[in-house]
Amino acid sequence: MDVREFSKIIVAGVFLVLLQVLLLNNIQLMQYGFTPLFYVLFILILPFDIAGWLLLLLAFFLGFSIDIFEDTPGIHTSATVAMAFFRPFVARSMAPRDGYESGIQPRIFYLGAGWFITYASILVLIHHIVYFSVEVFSISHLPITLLRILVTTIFSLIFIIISQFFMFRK
Amino acid sequence: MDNLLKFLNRIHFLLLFIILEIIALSLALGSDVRKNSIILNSANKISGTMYEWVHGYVQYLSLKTENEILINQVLLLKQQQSTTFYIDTAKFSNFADTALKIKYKYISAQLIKNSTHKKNNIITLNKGTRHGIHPDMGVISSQGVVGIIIQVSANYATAISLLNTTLGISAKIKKNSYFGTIKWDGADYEKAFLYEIPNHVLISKGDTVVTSGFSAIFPPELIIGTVDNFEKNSDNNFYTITINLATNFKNLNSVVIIENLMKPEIDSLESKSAVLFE
Repeated sequence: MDVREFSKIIVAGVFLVLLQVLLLNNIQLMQYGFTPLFYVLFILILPFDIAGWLLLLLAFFLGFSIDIFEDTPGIHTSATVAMAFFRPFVARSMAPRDGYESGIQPRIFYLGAGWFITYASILVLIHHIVYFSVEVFSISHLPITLLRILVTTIFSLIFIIISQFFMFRK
Repeated sequence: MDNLLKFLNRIHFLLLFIILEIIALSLALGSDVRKNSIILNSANKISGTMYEWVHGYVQYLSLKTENEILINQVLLLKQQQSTTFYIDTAKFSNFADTALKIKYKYISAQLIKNSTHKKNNIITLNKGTRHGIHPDMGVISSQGVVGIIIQVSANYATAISLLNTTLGISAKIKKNSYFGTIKWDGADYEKAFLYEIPNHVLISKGDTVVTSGFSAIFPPELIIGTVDNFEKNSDNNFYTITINLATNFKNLNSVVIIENLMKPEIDSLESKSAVLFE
């Protein structure tokens, strides 16, 4: 990864954090105020060849910036770090027979809707499970927590999939 | 040594994951909202400025409702003015103001950040130490009680709102003055619960619940909500009462911060007395 590519990634991260905290957090759907957590898109679209340690550190700082704005110390951070940890395993298990060709990015445009939706669903679900479990940190509200995880996952995925058709044309 | 390095190289991903996750989880679970360092808080300079900037634009959208609320408030105050009343006695004695001491001071503020969907909701206000705000001051709106200030920076303050599972506010039923504690369960932003009311007390749906005035944070008789439903607990002798909150936290915009000028005196007296029985 060269400097140009890295600075692009940082700009995308800052953009997603601001979009999330200044705009998307005002969307509160239905009775419990479900908010789509769109910013996790950042972890999904990092290039395949990124080093493991860099992936984890970027995820850490992504979650930490959201936490600062949201007054939720550590909650988003623990979820983004967990999501980043599982990303290489998910990507590897879904690789085509002879691996990913060089220059291919984890986006709908390169790998198709079926691939991207499966890949995004698994990772977003991991993120949301960790996020809502750490936030509640008790099993007394289990049905509500499960509902929050499922509905928020669906909302986040809708935003993430739509974004693919706007931002990532070649 | 060589083997150790190879081993570390092989597991560095797992190791880094564990370290970062421990940092994050200890922040999330080990910390008390009230004691978090100000850096981790939206009262910090960058996020505070940014939220205020956005709020400057968003504010215009709610001007209409805001006006209606203010007009209602003015009418209510007019209703309480002495000129509204016909004095129906022959004698009228005029109290000199020197007999009264100001106990509560009111400071207006604007919300620049609000949330209702989390388990522990915190709001950010655009007044800080420069305006005389300090922790443990009460926050109310024209509709009812909102919360309590927890942290203050130069220009901003954060308050723990009623929609926060860690907050308990002393409250009483207005008609018979039995008091208990208001708590929120983290689910519905329109409902909270009143505990510790003994189950021999007569209550009915629609009863008004107000602040008790025992906490030195809120003046007595401020509206918190009305009784929505109540049930007797079988395992103890208290009711669990569901309250419809008077404040609509979804469209909250202007609030008033209350300073009890006698709070330091009350607090020091109470802590001195508590020491006697330790």
